[in-house]
This record gives sequence, C-alpha cells and structure tokens, in this order.
Amino acid sequence: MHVSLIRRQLGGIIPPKIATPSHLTSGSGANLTPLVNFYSKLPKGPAPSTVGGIKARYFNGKNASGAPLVWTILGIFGLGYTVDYQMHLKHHKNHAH
Amino acid sequence: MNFNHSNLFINSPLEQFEVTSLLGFNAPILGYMSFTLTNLGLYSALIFTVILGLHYMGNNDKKLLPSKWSIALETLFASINSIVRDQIGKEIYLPFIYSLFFFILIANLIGNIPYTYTITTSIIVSIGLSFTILIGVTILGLSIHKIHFFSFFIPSGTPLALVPLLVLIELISYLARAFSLGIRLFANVVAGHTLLKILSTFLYQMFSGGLIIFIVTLLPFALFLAITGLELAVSFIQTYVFVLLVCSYIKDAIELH
Repeated sequence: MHVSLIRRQLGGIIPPKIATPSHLTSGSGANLTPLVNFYSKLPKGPAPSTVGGIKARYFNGKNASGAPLVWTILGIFGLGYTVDYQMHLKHHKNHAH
Repeated sequence: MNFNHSNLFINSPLEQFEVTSLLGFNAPILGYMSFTLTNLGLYSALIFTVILGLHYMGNNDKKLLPSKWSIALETLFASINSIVRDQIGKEIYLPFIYSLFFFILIANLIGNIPYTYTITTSIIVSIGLSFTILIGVTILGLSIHKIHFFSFFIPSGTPLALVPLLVLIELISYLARAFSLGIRLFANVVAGHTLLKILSTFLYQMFSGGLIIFIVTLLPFALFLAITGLELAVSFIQTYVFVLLVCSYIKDAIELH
C-alpha cells in the first residue's frame, strides 16, 4: 500500500504536524501560521455533554434528585401488584376465600 | 377438612415466600425440559437490573465534582473498602465483597416494597449463597496453605490426647458456619416479613370496620409504620453482618488464626 494512503488512514492517530523546531526557531519572523491554523480550527466553549436522556436529567451534577428512586419503587410496586393480582387476588375479588 | 371453605378468610402469612411459576413452557429439548420463569427468577433479574442501572446512572462521567448519586455510591464504596481493609487487609477481595453487599442489600430493599417477593427469604438463595462462599473459602485456604490448612482445626497448645475431640468440634463449628451465615439472613428477613404480613392483615380488617374504629386504628398503624422502618434497618444491618462475617471467614482461611 502507498505510504501516504496509510498515513491518511492513520490520520486520527498520528498527531498533525503543527510546529517543528525549525519552524519556531527560524528567527523573528518564525512561521507560526500552521500553529495558528490548527488552534483557530479547534471547537470553542465548554465541552458538550456526552450523555443525554434520563442520566443527564436526573442524575448528573446539580440535576441529581431522588425522583428516579421514587419511580423505581412505584414501578416495582406496580409489577408486584400486577403479578399478585393475576396469580392470586383476582380469584378473591368478590369473596374473601 | 376443606381449607378452601368460605369462612376461612385469613391467608397464611407464609404464602408470600412461596416460589411460584409465573410463566413457563415445556420443550422437547435435551429430553424433555421445562422452562419456567418463577417469581424468584423475575426478582433476581430485577435486582441485577437495578444494581447495574444504579451504578451506570450514579457514576460520575470522570467529572471532578461528584453528583449526589455518586457521593452516595462513593460513600458506600468507602465503607465497604474500610470493612475489607480492616478485616482482611487485602483489597483483592474488595470486588467480591462489594458485589455481595450490593446483591444482598438491593434484594432486601426491593423485598420491602409491598406485594414484592424477597429472594433472600428463599432458603435456596441464602443458604446456597453461604454454602458457596464457605466452599470457596475452603478452596482458598487449601490453595494457599496446602496440607497445613488442616492445622486450622487444632487450636495451638492443645494436649495430644484432646486432639481427636477438638478436631471434631472445630470441624463441626467450621461446617456450621455454612448454615449459620445463611440462616441468620434468611431467618431475620422471613421473621420481619411474616410479622408485617400478619399486622397488615389485622390492620386491613380494622380499617374496614367503620369510621370510629378507623380513627382508633391510626395509632396501631403508626406503630406499623415504625416497624416497617425497623425492617428497612434490618435490611441494611443483615447485609452488613453477612458481609462482615464473610470477610472474617476469608481472613481465617488466609491467616489460619
């Protein structure tokens, strides 16, 4: 395979050549354009949150709340009641044994 | 005598501990097998999901400032870590003890929700757990100390004449751990749940007995709520005791007291 092709494919791993010693030490008019180019293209501002959904809404940072706990308990109660009703309670709805 | 007689209106308070089949099918696989989802299986899967979910949701995404959820998790982690370090002194056993702690704790806590099934009230779960742990601990001791592991059964400074008797006693006491560890958990949880079931049956009858009795019943109901709180505490305490004892058994196997 051609060398440059490998290089292009590995571009995500090999860091870009933004500054070399010769660039930076060649007198007062040092060629800083690659450096400026590189940094001006970087994304600005705070890093975007990588997680969304329930975790971001109820668990992360200042959003942490006890609501998921309550919902889990209610959900398990609902499951338990449904199972109990189907297995047992519905046979005694109109007469206690 | 017909027990389904219409006058008999109180269920057995032990009925809640029955393992029942929720859905299942028979299939002609490997001979003839019956695949069944029992309430035990359902709640085991539920406990697994809740533990995984708690740890996924509560983790901190590598942020410096923890959320309240990750503070809670880290506090529990620190407590279990200190138990392991104080008792065993080797943190290699921390993952096992940590998983055990969360399994029993979440199982007990889920069981405190009304209408649910508590898997630790099943002998096969609690005794099975303690038996498995004791077998593992014995293998651990044998692999570390080889034949010297059996010196565990002879306390130091024993006269030779007493050795056969003492070995027998020590062996029985060692094997009894396998039962006592599981039965302690099982009996405490079963006793609590039976009590709550009996009391709530009484309270249901009293609450549906007219307005004045309803108001009078509010006092025993407050007591009932307090006992429910006690059961929550028992869930934590029994988990802690179980984990602490497992730690001391592991320490015994490593250091041969």
